[in-house]
Amino acid sequence: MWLLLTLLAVLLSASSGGEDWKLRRQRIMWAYEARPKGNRTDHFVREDSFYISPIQMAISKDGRWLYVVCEKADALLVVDAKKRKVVKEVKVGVHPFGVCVSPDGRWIYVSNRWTDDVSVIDARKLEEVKAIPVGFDPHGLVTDKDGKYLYVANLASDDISVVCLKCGKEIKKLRAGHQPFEVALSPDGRYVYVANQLSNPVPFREPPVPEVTIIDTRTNFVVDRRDLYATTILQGVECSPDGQFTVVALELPKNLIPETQIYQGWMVTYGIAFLEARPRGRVAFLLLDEMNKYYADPFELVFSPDGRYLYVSCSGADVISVVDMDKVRKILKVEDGKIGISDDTIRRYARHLALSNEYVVARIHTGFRDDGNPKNPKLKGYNPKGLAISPDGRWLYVACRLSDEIAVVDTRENRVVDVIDLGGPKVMTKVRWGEYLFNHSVISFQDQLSCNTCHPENNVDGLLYDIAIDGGMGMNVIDNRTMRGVAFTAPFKWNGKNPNLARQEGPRAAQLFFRSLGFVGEDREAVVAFIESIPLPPNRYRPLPDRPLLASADDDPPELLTPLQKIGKKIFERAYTKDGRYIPIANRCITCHPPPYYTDRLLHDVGIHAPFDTDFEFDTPQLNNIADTAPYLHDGRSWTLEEIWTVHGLEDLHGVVSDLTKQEFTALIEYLKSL
Amino acid sequence: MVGVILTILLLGTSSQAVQSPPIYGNWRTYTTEDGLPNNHIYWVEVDKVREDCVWLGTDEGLACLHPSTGEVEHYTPKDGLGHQAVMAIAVDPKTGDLWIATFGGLTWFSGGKFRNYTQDNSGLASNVVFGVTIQGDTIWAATTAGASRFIPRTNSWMTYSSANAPFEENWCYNAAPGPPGKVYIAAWGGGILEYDVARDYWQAYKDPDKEFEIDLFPNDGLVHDIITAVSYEDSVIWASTYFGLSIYDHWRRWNSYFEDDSGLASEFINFVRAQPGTHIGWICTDKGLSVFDYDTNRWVTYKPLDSHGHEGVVKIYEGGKLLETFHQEPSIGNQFVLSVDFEGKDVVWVGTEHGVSRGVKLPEQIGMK
Repeated sequence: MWLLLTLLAVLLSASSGGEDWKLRRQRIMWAYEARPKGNRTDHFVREDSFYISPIQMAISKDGRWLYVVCEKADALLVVDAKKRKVVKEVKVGVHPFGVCVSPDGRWIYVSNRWTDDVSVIDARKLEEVKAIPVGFDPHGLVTDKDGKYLYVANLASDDISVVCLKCGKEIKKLRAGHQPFEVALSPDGRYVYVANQLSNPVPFREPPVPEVTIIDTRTNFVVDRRDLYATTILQGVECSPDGQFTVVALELPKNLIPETQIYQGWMVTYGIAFLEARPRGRVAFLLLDEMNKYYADPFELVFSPDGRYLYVSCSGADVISVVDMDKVRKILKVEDGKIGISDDTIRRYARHLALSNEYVVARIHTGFRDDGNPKNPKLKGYNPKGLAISPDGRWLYVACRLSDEIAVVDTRENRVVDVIDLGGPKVMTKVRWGEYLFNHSVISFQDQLSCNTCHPENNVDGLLYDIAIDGGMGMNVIDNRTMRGVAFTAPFKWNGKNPNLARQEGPRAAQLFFRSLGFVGEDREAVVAFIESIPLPPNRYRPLPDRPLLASADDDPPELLTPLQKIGKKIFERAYTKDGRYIPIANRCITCHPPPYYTDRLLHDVGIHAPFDTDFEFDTPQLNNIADTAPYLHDGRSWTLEEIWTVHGLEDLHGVVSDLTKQEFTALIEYLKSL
Repeated sequence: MVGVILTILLLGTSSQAVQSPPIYGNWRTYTTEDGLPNNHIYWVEVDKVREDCVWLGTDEGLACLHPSTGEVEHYTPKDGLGHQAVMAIAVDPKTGDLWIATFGGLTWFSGGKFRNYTQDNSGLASNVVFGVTIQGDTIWAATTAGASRFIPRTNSWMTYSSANAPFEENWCYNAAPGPPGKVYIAAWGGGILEYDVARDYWQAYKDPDKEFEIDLFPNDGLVHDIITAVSYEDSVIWASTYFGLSIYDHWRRWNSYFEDDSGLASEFINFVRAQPGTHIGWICTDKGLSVFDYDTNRWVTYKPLDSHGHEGVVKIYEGGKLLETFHQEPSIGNQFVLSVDFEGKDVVWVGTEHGVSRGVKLPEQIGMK
């Protein structure tokens, strides 16, 4: 009965005052609730529901108000920066991420990842007045200088929504690189820079090449796509106040060389890209790391108002690195906004671990650990993410995601001088502690990397790794796999040799990745609990329902498919080819990929063994939200789902597809995307 | 009554004064000597969203000609283009991105970078793509294995062919936008296919005479089922075939045009494009360029007298009656005409076997006796 009443209420509100955005959100969540989540809930305790997890911030022009997006609270907190207190909570969509303020300060915009919209918040009334639908999984957003347009990076649809703020709707989508993450407006308002988290398609076994997409705000066209060769996880992006540079926080992976060691930056380093602002300008890279100490997972950057200092939140190290831009300019021999060093020197500096002492002038530790007990709940500053700086440059605010607080840094002293408590439980639950460990690099030798380093947002980094002593694939590379919705998909590893996550995240991760003791005891239990708690996000490829659907953890998701997907489903489940040939049970799609997670959790030989692979049979991956986890197959040789069969599965050993028409094959692909 | 008579007189005067289709001249042909990569111009597309840019699909890649400076940018498969044979180009008016039909896939060009979609890495029906058009947020590719629809937002593909739509032949030559919510596909041997997006419904227009290579009953439908191009403007559909021209007027009346009863330069028609905002069609044939105003029933036909367009002849017809002939120096680059596009109302670009020619609208008295 209550469902009917809810439905009636939503429909009435929808029909009575242009509240369609609320109904749309409801429909998205109905679809979501009806799907298997792929996570375990038995680790959760009551407090897990009350963490708020601040992730991004914006500051009012006068510096008085901080607008803090809290991803777990589905809310925007308004903080009085002067009194350092929360004054208001504004509920927004589901899993909010980015925030920006209109140039006149009248409106606040918040991107909502799971409801695929942008909340429009009246900055005077401090209430959400509407939501504008945008692309899939919106992240960073920024307005143009006049407040006419809003640019939203849609991570899961690889595009950028251009929203007309006057008419309150998206007017176009510009295609971005892969997983656009964050955006920045040039000081003169001419360009919007978009950092794309992952690489564009590259040939097999070649280094990743993500791009920075550049939009001309006069035409709202993409005018440049700047490749950042051999980098990944481009997240924060910012423009220097003098307009000479755009800076991007990123990783520099060495995933294609055998992972025989991790010290000396062998596996991954962290740095900043400096992009000349001029069209087709050059790019240089400088590391944040030191020879024996690494500053993992740089997330956000902000310049001091005078442009002298650049602050970078190293979220995996609980550190804010302070970069002196004057020194950077000297090192890069910058004149008139042009980088003066040679291409060879740029390449050398991109790997130069001894150089950061020249330009990193301070490391501000947000994590207080002076009593030696990292699990003491009184300790603060976990997982610094979003940054905001006061207009006078005196105060740097740091959103500490996993301790529900804002660290206040006095930039004259470069240290945390105060903490703004945003609320949330004062206890550290097992799942929350596991999330902290997952996101912290302290587990690895010299703090080299965290789990999050290769699994940003608990998903994949799209890279192939040459894990030298993995005991499975010999000298070949293997594809990274998601952490989302994996609770019921054991065994793990492509050769299936890890029977559970405790082994995967314990000895195996310690030996192969962290080169340390690894997670042990309660820490390992906590990490496993956290990983098993990670749900699958909404699947955008299914039509939205008009009513609540019955949730089903064990069965195939409800029959809410497009006509094309229904054709694909029949092919997925078929027992006969079109000409009547019997398909052996073992060679039907659904046999090895049964719902709800579309894995039988067994090893199979599907004819994709590569030369020098030491195994012929591989773990059957789950298929949920498969569109978000490219590339595919055990060594990542398929950039698209189609290539699994058009290029690599020509013998009909990986299901039978050779009798399909192009239309039927497309239908199968569309069905796979809907799972 | 006086007012009505005056109006009729004025209209009469006006119709006599307006010369339609207008005459174009002052041809300037760009060839390899001007920096084009190749003289074989499969496609010419005036960029409506960027100034001073004419895109050319050639036998040796994609070129962008900047008429004001004469500079030419050239892109090849080394830059990421799917194939050196560029058959068609569409510029997305919303994003400024280019979608390029090549013999090696459908190539997307944006921000100076290319990405190629093939039959292997995507839902594209075939790597041999002859035509491309953009309808809203959807890209349509005419391939040799059917028409493929691509929705970038969801990375979703769909192919239509004889397996799921009334395509008698899957070999598609050209795609063009129709009225809102419709798209047209020109199929080799399959007539015109009209797709209604909202209803997800295909309507086929075929030659009622079927196999005959002559038009048994004129004006009963398409001249022939081998359609090389289709174009739509203001409720009039233009279809070019290798056996004459067909026009479908407001979904009511078919009209057929041949060499012997019109000003058509040749019945072997490579391409047709309707001029925006008019009922004028530009018909690209193997023996010259014909321009037809459906409202006035008048033709202007341009035929170069040599293979390099140094000199040509212009003929003006009313119906099939020749009214006037005069010479032009220079003429369009070559009589084998492959494509045409418009730069505003007064400039036309014509792609030929020997370069791309730019013509400007002449004062009305020129060419009129």
